[in-house]
Amino acid sequence: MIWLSWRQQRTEAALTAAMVTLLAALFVPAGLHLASFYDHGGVAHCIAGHKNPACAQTLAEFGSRAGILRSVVPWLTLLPGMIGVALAAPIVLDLEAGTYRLAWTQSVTRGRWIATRISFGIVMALAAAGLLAVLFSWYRGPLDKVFGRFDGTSFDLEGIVPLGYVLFALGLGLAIGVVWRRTAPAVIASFLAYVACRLFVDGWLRQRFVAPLSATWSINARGPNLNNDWVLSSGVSDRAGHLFGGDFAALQACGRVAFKGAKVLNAKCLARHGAGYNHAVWQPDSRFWEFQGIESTLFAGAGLLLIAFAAWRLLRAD
Amino acid sequence: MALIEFHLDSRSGVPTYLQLVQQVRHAVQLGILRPGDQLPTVKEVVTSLTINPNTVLKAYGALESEGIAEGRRGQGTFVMSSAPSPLGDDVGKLRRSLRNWFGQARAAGLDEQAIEALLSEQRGSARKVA
Amino acid sequence: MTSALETRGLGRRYGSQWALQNCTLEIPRGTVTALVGPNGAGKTTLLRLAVGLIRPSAGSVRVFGLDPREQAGEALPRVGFLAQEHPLYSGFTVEEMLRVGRKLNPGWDDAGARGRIAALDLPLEKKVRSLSGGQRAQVALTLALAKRPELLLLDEPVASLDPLARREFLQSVVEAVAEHELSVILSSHILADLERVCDHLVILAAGRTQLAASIDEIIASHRLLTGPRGEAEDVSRMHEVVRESHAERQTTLLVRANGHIYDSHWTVHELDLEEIVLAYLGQDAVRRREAVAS
Repeated sequence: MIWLSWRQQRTEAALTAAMVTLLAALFVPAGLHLASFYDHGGVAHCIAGHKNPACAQTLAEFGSRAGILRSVVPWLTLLPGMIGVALAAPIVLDLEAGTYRLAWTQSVTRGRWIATRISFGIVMALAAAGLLAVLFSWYRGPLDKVFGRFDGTSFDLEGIVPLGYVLFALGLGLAIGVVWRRTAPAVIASFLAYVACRLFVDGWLRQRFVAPLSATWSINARGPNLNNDWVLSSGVSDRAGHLFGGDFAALQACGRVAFKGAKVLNAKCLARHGAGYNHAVWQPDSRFWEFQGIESTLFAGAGLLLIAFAAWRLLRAD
Repeated sequence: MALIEFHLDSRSGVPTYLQLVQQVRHAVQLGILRPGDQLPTVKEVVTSLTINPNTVLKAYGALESEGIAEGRRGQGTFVMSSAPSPLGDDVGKLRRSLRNWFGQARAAGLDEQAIEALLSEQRGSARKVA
Repeated sequence: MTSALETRGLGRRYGSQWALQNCTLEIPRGTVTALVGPNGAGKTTLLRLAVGLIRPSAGSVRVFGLDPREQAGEALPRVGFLAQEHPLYSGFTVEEMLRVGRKLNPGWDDAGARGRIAALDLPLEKKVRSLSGGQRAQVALTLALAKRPELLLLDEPVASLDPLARREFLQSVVEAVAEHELSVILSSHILADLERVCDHLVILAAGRTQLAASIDEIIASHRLLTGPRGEAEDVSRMHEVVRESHAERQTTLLVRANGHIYDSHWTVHELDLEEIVLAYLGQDAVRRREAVAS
């Protein structure tokens, strides 16, 4: 039964392996390059707070060293979805072609067939997603130290969330496929559903997992260092923290006054216009793993529920 | 290699097992099968005719009760020594006189159906006598 | 001895439509049974119920006394099933299909399977999708036979095959019966295929069993009665009238006789199997049966 599960998923497994290998071939050299630039190009210094005038340029240069791959990375977030759905496809194909009747009339019980094939799919999915997560966590290491790891593409590809995503996609593929029993439409529908859910969580739900932090500080004060955090919103505001919605041109009229030997913006004038402060809402970097945990549990849990549903449907089929 | 080969006439209206019985009987009468010869195995018959094995068993069972053959466990079915002996030379003579008779019947203008009717009629009365 | 297949009031419904209803029959071991009926009669449904692919909506089905669904672990090794489309994995080679059989069946006879494939001149390295219809059927049959089942269920096994492939397929089946004491149930909507090979007959029409008996008994008990135009009442009191038809001056009855027919009113003719089956499949017979059932 294990041999059969493998043999029927052979093509999908090979494609997945090829893709992971290709990505490794692209990202390992790039990652090594970035790491070395980070260590020897002075980036580490700049981050450590040793301010020197060249830092701004060093950091900018560092960012651009990531090269062409930067434009590839955002698309990679679709990979767990594709892998999960692709690994569900052979099982749906079996149902569509009626060849499941061959497997269910040998000497193996239906339950064993279902358990083995689905387990196999899960193992392959987690292995592929795990490898990708490891690859990207490693690659993004230096970049994360500079630019933070909480931003959209980084969060999606690092840590443990890819495992949750792939389980979710596998679950969608199986659940839809077992009910619909037509492979091509089921694969498309599952993938679209995956994308929709991911967009929803990425764009709306994730930031609400835990109540974000917020702060308001005078425009002339220093304010918190939010470089590595996930800033949800920031901007000019009034003292109470309400963001300024007016015309910035009016604020120009407030001019500058001398204050402790430096030219600063006229705070009183700004306050009259409903400005004079900066307000920011953010999720701190320290919550990275907490969020990873919540999002992984969400997707993995949903995925496992969908898989269980598919298994139950098959067991009771006909 | 089997000693004889059966054939089936599915349109004759005669049950399959009976056709097999008749063919064995004829083979014995014509001397093609002699006492001690082995009849084709069930599997051989089944393979060549694509018929149900039970039919062959039924035929061989009938041959056994007629005393023409006997089944030996694990070995097969064999023609018995008490089977009616072959007709020998008489067959040749009978064959020739039959050929003459047919020639005469056709010359007299009898068609196939008339010949059939004549044969059936005489066969029936011949049986009553014997 | 437990029968190969036994059903009691077996029925299967899809929505409000009964694909099979009130099917009660018993098929003894060591027989080759023809399951005959028009398309949609319930043949596939009955076979799938027997192997546990679908669940009964009413009644029960047992193979060798086992419930094929609840006791699948015990029943499956003893029952071979060949679905109508001869399902095989199209991307697998013949060799790999044999491997499937070996991996999924503890009782797999690998030497026998390979012997069959070799005897049939089937190339092991060829992919299933490049085999002819007849070759696919033989590979699928090899798979079903090599697990050494005691009961083999074949759903319209020769419907898609040319006459030669058909004959070769049936030849393989009867050879296996001769060699291994196998019980077989094969369905078809063409009787001619099955007559030589079967000794039992089950007729299904409109989801109901019209007739289930051994072929010898069927031929021995069914008669055609012709007589001057009149009523069938006297006859129907003693015997079961299957079909009744009236011409202007003559009445014809097809009956299943309950003993000898003494009425001198009627001329009695024997019938061949095909005529009997057609009578049971005719509208008249089906309607009578439904009336009896309700």
